[in-house]
Amino acid sequence: MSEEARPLAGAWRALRRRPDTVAAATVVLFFALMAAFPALFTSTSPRSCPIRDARLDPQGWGAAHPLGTDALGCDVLATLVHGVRPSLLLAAVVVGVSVMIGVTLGLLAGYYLGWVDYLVSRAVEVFLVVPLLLAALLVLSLFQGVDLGAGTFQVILLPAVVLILFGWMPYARYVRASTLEAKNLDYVTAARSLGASDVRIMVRHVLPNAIGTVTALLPTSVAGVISAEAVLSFLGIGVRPPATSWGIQIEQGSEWVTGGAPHILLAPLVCLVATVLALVVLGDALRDALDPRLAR
Amino acid sequence: MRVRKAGGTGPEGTGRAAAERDGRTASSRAPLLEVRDLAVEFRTAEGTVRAVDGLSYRVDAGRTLAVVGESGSGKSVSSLAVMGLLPDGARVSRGQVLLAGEDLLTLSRREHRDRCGDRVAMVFQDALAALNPVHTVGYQLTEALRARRGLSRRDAARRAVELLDLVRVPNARGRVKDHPHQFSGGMRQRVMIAIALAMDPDVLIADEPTTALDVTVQAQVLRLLAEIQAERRMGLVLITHDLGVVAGVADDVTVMYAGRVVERAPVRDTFRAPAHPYTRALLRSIPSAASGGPQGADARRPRLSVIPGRPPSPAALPAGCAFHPRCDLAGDLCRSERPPLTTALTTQPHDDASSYPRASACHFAAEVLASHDVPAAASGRPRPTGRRDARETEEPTDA
Amino acid sequence: MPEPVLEVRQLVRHFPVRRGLLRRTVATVKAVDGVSFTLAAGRTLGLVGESGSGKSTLARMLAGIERPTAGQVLVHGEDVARLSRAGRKRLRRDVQMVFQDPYTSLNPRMSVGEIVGEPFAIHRITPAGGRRAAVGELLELVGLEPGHASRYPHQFSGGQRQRIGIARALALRPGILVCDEPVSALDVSVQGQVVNLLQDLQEELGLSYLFVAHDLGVVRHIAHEVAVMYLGHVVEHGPSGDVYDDARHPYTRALLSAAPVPDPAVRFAPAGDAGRGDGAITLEGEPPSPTNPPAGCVFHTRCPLARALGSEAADGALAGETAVLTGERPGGGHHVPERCARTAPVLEPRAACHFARSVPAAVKVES
Repeated sequence: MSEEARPLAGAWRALRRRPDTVAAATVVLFFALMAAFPALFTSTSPRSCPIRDARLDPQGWGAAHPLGTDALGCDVLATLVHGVRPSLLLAAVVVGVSVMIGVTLGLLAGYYLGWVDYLVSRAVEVFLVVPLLLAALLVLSLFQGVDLGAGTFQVILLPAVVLILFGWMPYARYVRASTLEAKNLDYVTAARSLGASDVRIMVRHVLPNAIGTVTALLPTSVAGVISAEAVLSFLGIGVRPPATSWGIQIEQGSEWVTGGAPHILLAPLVCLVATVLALVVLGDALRDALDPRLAR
Repeated sequence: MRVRKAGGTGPEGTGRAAAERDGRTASSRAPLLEVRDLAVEFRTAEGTVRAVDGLSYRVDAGRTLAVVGESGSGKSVSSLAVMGLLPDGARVSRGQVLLAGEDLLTLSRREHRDRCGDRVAMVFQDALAALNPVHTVGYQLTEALRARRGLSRRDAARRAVELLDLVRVPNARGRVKDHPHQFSGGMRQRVMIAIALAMDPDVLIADEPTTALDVTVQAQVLRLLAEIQAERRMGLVLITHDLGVVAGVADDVTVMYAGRVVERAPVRDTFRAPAHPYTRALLRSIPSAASGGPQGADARRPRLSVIPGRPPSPAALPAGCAFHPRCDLAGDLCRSERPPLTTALTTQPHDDASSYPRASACHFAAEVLASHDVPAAASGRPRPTGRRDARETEEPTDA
Repeated sequence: MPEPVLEVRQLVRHFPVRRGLLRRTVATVKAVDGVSFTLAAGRTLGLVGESGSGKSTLARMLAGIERPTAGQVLVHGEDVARLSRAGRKRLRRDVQMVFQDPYTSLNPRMSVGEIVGEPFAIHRITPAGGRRAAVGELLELVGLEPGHASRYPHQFSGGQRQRIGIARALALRPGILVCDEPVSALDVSVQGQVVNLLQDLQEELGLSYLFVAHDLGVVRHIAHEVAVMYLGHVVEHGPSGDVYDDARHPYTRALLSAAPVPDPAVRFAPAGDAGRGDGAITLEGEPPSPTNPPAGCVFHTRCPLARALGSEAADGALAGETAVLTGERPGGGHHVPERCARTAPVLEPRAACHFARSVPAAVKVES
């Protein structure tokens, strides 16, 4: 039994005891490193694309194109490595901001009910009903002539705005439902009878028990964001060339799966699946580690 | 109270079934249901945990056996094992469940449940959870009848009304079309009992049937169970934690602690003179509604007599007698050696001739029996107003 | 008579039942419908009743969780509703609550130290000697060890968790504890430990308890006075010895005779047999819905005394009383005295029953 009072230290110890967690953390760290220092992983520029080298098969480590080249002759490994940063940054920003918006609105709606709930619930419905693509086209037309620049952040700004706008609703719904459930628990009533403020009750008592469903949603949302970005790129409001992303690679590679060059799709897809699975495992482990009932 | 005439509109089952049952009970004195040396194990992360260890009991026609214990004593798990309804991860590791002489545990799980469906029925504590919210009560009452006995829709509908009548649900004809949530707690429990009675069982196992009910409704349901049982000469196994309920309805009692039987006796014997320190302490710890309470404003009021500590986890049972850490009689022997359930106890003969031999699993059973002081319940104290006793309370049998 | 620390005057709590798009109020649940009592320092008032009687709603109003629809709650003579926000917070500190279910009343994600220390955090108080020391003292007060502060609720048994809940309630040094079924979720062998602890604390700290329970035995043991609730009304209120030994209200009698007692001589026998059937009052049916409580005396639809007197009155055998027919279905039902069906009885002096004086006779009539 753990006598540990500091939950974080206990959480870390619980994490270490699970080999799958360690493997997942390694995968995530690997890609994070790749996003931060792409030069460590490839010396080829993703922008040098001699068309005569198009669709070369993977050549193995040490060769000029370890993972082959894509339809335009760009090096797949280089594109992959340089696509990590926009993809993961976009995923982190979109999911992070959506969670913040969704959790806040869901919490307020579930806790106060009444007109707050009415407004939030109707907003959720409206945003669920409007198709993502339609809204994306709208944003596109709004920002058509605007040059946002080519920095890492500017590149993902437009897709981020669109995806956040249409990504917060599930969190709001889940958190609202679990708030409704949690706020009638005896320990919440106990806090209220002690005179605790609404903010304290929400933050200390309701939220920790409502957040579990959200952590379960996160990994798949990351995958969803990365692939949705590909569709937006197709429309012209995603990550714009010359910058590249996993979504764009997957989008382009899918054309050549049956055309004799499946590696163009497989390389980014494997990376995406590995990232998502790693996040699923980490999310599970984190949830267990933060729950004192499961600490041994 | 209304007394139903046997053989009236009350569903006595088909004539064949009734005759068969009468023949069976008359021809042999064999118990309807007998459990022998039952052990149930759970696989958990910490290893195998024995939830029930060596439970034996028998139920005769027309008698009520109470299985008493606190949470974790194994009383509910054992009844699930009898019914073949153990959850995943639990298995019977030893013992027999004999239904009219046939060992159900040698059968396949499916056959086991089939056999139980015909002869043994179960009533659960939480009627709302045990009933399906999307079907009408009438449908659920006759589901088994239609599936197993092939009753026509018309006959089934008539039978459903009969069953609701039997459990005294007012306006039965109108209510068969209602859904479970339209019934109050007490009425739902009656519906559960009616469903259990639909197949005309020989034995009814009721797991905390009135725990979720208010006292006045509990009294109604217990009375109903007693009436139905007397009418049909059913065997009733009542699983409960409430010694008041045990005293109110049971003929025999089996007291469980930490998965084992600690005492077994006719109810009157146990309550008059418990033969196990656990039973004795339990009886003493019940605050009485009939006497006691604060007297003066300033005087130090009496404290309840309590059992120190708490029931052990089945995963970490104490060595020797499982009760020894909480027992005021515990000696070295108790800490090292597990006392067997011995039947060599003499009891006073009384009118309530029972085939239930007294037994206690205590090294000092004879001392407990001989030296017990007066349990609060059996003393000649005044009873709550509004109730007179059927029999005069005997003086405690102090040696 | 010691000075009252808590007084309740004509307290009412109605819950509107809203339906439809416009959330129109279609009905009102009269959970608590005009309850008055006083609680003296160092004394225990037991509140008994069945589910739906309003006893838990009443407890929650006193603990400040529910707002009364009407009526007054006076703590130390001050009307809670008339105070400023700060005043209410100060009074609230003086009335604390112990909950029924020790498994849901403690936040599983907080350590015991955080749970017991939360009242200090909420009221921004630093107790003398520091919060950690204060938590340790509170844990010792309820029979736990100060070292338990770093553990989590799931590491404790039900009885220990209830002790943690009591420690939390005591943190702000309240004068009054509202205990809502504090032992009913516990095993029999553990119940007594918690009841004894509450009694010890009362003597040590001079606490007053409002002790809500359905277990009549526990209430008799701990309470100086008992109030019996039925459908939002207190139907009988008096010193617990008097109420238990010589109940004046037919409902109290029915409740007492329905409670199982650990004595095999008192049986729930089938009707007609000897045993409980003889002399005991068994109520028929279940309490009516608090949405639409009966007019007159709320108990008259199930009252065995009203039925007995009603049939006498119908036969003209009861001077000065006329009978009316009552029941759920028209045509069916029973005769009851007109008074019972028309006018609500007042709680005077002990039982709210028009025929309180006839109650002992009712038992004989019924059997």
